Amino acid sequence: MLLGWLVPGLGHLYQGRRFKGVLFLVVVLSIYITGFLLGGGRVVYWSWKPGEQRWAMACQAGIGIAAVPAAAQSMLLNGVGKAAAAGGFMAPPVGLNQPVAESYGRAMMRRNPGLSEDDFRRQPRLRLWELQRDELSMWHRQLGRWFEIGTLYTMIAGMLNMLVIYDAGFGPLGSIRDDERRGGGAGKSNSSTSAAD
Amino acid sequence: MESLASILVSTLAVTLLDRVPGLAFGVPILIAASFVFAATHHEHPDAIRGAMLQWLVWLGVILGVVLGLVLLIGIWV
Repeated sequence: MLLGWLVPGLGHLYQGRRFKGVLFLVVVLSIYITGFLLGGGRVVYWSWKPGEQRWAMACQAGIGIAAVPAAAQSMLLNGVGKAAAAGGFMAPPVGLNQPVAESYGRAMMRRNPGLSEDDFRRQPRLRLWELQRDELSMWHRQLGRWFEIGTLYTMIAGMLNMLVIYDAGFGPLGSIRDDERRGGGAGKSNSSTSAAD
Repeated sequence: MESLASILVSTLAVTLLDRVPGLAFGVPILIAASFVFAATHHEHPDAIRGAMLQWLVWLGVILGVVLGLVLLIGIWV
């Protein structure tokens, strides 16, 4: 089940259920990656700041390791004068007047062509930059409906992976009589499942 | 009779696509959900393929009815 959470279908592949493993891997990950790209790579982030809670992350987290960087970036950016790693990949948006490290302010400018040094209030002694605009609003303005569509895709991918995890741990949800009638594939696969468990 | 039904369905689909921007983006999600639902209910590849089509029809009909109701309410109100 842990493998199934980490990478969709990996639990099935470990159990020897190759067809389902590859199917889940391709289907769930392609929906997640499509959503991530449609949303400009900004729709998966972790934020629990008051008033800016990212509830979509509760569903997106179901995808496993592909959502883990978002949690790490959120922790890195939490506090005064902090900076997210990797140029802000999967980092939460910087709020109005949130002080960040100078280096991260420059990374934000590279990431958002609409941002300039004038959009920051600089405190040279402390090497802090405070954004005078709300980055999340900028993302919404830039991406428009793609932000919502990307969020929807990544949320659904995460939720579908919950079903995949259940299947990896406890087998098919429905009756397997049909499968047995079709050639006994279920019996073989289930025995490998129980062996792996 | 079948050709009439297919004309009606395609006309309805084109009308919906025209009235609801972004509806086409729901299709990959429907297909992916059908695959996952089918695969979590069956183990054998043939059974999964058959069930996938059934799930696709079910999900399409259910969501289509909901969308139709929302559109009707939107026209009416």
